[in-house]
Amino acid sequence: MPPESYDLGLDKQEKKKTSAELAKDHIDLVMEKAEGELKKDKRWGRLCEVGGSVLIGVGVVSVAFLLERLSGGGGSQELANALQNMDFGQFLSSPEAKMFFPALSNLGFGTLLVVGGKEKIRQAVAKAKDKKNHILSQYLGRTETPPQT
Amino acid sequence: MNPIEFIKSYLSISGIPDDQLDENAGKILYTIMLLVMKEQSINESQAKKLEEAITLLKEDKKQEGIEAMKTVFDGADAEVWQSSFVEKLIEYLMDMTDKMGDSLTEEQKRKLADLLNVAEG
Repeated sequence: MPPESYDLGLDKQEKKKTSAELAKDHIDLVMEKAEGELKKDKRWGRLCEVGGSVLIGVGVVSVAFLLERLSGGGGSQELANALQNMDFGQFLSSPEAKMFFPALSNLGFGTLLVVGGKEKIRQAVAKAKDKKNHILSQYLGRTETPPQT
Repeated sequence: MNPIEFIKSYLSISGIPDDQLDENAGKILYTIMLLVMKEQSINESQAKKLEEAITLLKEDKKQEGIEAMKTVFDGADAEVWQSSFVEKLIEYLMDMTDKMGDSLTEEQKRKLADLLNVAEG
């Protein structure tokens, strides 16, 4: 009988990650990478000296800018609290978020074209659709997007 | 279905627990905004204003900081920001699907494909 400390190596085998774990890994990694790249950019370097941790809030505050610009509304207390606390859940439930994101066309690309009707948006959607169709065929077992009814 | 619901549905199908959907959807939106900001870039004048705004936020002068932040982007092209935002969000979700790859069950793949087709319509 092996001693208790005998190492069979079983605990060293990497457990296969679930899709949820992989998704969360991706979310955190891309966020950290985006923050890191932004801080390395010389245009942002001086800002990082002011306060790196505060810089993290810049993205969210910029969302506030977009919300106000695109919805025409003012800042609410919910949004202000969410910005201060970096509370993503609260941010999503703020009136501005609810006003702004439907205006982003439901992520329904056809609707976006109708609402937007602008060439830059059209181009962005076209690129996104190319990528989506690639994923559909490559990873999700569909050869093409079914025709719309 | 609006983009928030879309993202949360995507995450839910991916297996993220319900009580973690808001947090992770928020992280995604925040990340997309960082990517958009980097791509759209800012000039020296905007950087200076941003520095001042961040200083205010750091001093816990929340309202002043947010107001200062708004002036940074005076004249910015909302259409450009919006299209960049949509493009990067879709790319982001597709990359995440790529990352999950073989860990997805056939049922998850079917649901994700259906969700993408709903978004198409």
